[in-house]
Amino acid sequence: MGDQNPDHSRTEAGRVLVPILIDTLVRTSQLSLVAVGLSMTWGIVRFANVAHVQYAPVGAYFALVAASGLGLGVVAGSLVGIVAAGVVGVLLHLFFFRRLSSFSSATALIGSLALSIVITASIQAIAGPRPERLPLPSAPGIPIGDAFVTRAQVYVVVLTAVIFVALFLVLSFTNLGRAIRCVAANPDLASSSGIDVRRISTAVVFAAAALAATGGVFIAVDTSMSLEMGSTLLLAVFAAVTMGGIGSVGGSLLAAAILALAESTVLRIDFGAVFGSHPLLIPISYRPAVGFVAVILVMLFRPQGLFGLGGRRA
Amino acid sequence: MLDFALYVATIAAVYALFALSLNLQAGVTGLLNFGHVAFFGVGAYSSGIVALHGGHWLLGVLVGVVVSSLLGAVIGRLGRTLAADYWAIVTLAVAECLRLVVVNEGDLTGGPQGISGIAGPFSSVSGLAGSLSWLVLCVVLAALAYLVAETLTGMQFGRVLRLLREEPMLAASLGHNITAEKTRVLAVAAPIAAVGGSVYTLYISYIGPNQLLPIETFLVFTMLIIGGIGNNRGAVFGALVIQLIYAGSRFLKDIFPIPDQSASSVRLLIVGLVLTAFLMTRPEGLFAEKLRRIDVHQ
Repeated sequence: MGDQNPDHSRTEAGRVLVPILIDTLVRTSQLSLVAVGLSMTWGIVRFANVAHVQYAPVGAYFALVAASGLGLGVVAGSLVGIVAAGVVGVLLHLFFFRRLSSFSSATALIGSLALSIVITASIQAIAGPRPERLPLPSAPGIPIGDAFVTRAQVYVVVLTAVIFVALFLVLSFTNLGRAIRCVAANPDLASSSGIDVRRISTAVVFAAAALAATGGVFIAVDTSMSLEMGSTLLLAVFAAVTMGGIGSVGGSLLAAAILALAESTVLRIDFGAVFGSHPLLIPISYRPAVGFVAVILVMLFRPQGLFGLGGRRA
Repeated sequence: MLDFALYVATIAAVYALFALSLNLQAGVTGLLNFGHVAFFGVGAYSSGIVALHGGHWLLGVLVGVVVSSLLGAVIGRLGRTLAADYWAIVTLAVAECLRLVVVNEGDLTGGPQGISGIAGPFSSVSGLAGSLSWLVLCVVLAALAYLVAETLTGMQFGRVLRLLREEPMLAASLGHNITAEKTRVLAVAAPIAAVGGSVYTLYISYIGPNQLLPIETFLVFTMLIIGGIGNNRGAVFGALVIQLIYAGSRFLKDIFPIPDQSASSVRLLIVGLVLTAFLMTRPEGLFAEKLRRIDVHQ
């Protein structure tokens, strides 16, 4: 390999790095939007809401109905779908989870498992088992070096960045944001300081479900929507939330980025070269294992989050 | 029709094994194992793989019992530092890892197609005698598991487990080693489910990765909630009810015009709604666990 000139090896590196970068950015956007909502609500509802990831397919399928069924077009349809998913989230919080939590957090946890199954089964019964696509016009990809990025992917990444900046500004500098952080940190103290905890909780739950739905719409825009969308997101999202520290918006974003990078690089590393033996690549079908293994490792060794933010009893 | 009834009863008995196993963990000890299907999978695939290599079916069952017990002990050890909901997520991740390995390691497990043509103990007995032998075997196994579970929950060990569920701090302060007790209950409960997995595989002589989906764990939770979580009798009863709902929903499409492709989702929807209704209105189940009350304010 010594006869390679430096110029050649640079394009070689670009050939590998650019797709990894695109892959990571898009995946980070999708994961972080679903994860951030879970992170925000976990502190308030005080149980691991397994059904949270299901707002992604709910939002995507609502968007599909609004976009093609009602003929609103993709943009307006997606907005309708996202708001509808937020409303579903609020209704479930008010009439289902609040009641179950009053029995015990174990009941609420099992209830959220039941709800995920009901949602998946309902979508399958109504929309059928095949993956669906949003009615997007086919646009040519934009070439970057040897790689291609689609217009949809650019929108996904830019919009996610805008959403996170807005979220950060609201949480840091507005009264609503301060109230939300108070409620998440200590609901009793917040209540005794005159904050309407119920109203704030409802607002957070709406935002969380809507953000997850946005993530779902972004997945549908990038590839397609399917029944398994929620369950395939589940463990990666839980890994991101715990890794980032429960309740930490920036933490979830950073953790989602780490996971996305891990997912897109681990499968491209030739472990044979590392150990000096035959080429040994992890097959692509093991991609979901990154999230599975990450969730186990993080919960075992850093249940308070990688960055020591947020935190919870170990 | 008789064949179908025998089939339903046999599967219900197998389900009772899963439900009794999960009841020891989730009901008695309060350990919400969302990856319970992993124990079923270990038993099922042990039988499948041993059969693939021409081993005796009994060897497959034994391998399943040993491996699942070890897996149970390891998962129990993970409960050392984890809060209940964290542990639930971790168990789900372990079960999903197992499923992913099963799908991908085709040389060992047959991959997505699974393993078929597995010979069981009554493979040579055909017709009604065969079906009856299976039913008797499964009912005997379920009865044995029930006796084991009742004995375990009745003795001091069971009392410690319930204390662990209700007052973990108190249990620790009384000198009980929480991790050791969790490890023990999982090492005992896992083989019950593994035997169920083995028997199921030998009975239908097939095992595939789609039987390791998290939905299966959810079904067993539904059985427990309906029957009454924490109560062994409730677990058996719940298994029977769920199996009847499943079997009954086959006839549903004769009455309502449900297309074939959504039949399975309608069935899941029914089970999910039943579970939701129970959680909302009667979370203690039909046979509520009877806890001894001691009045401390005399």
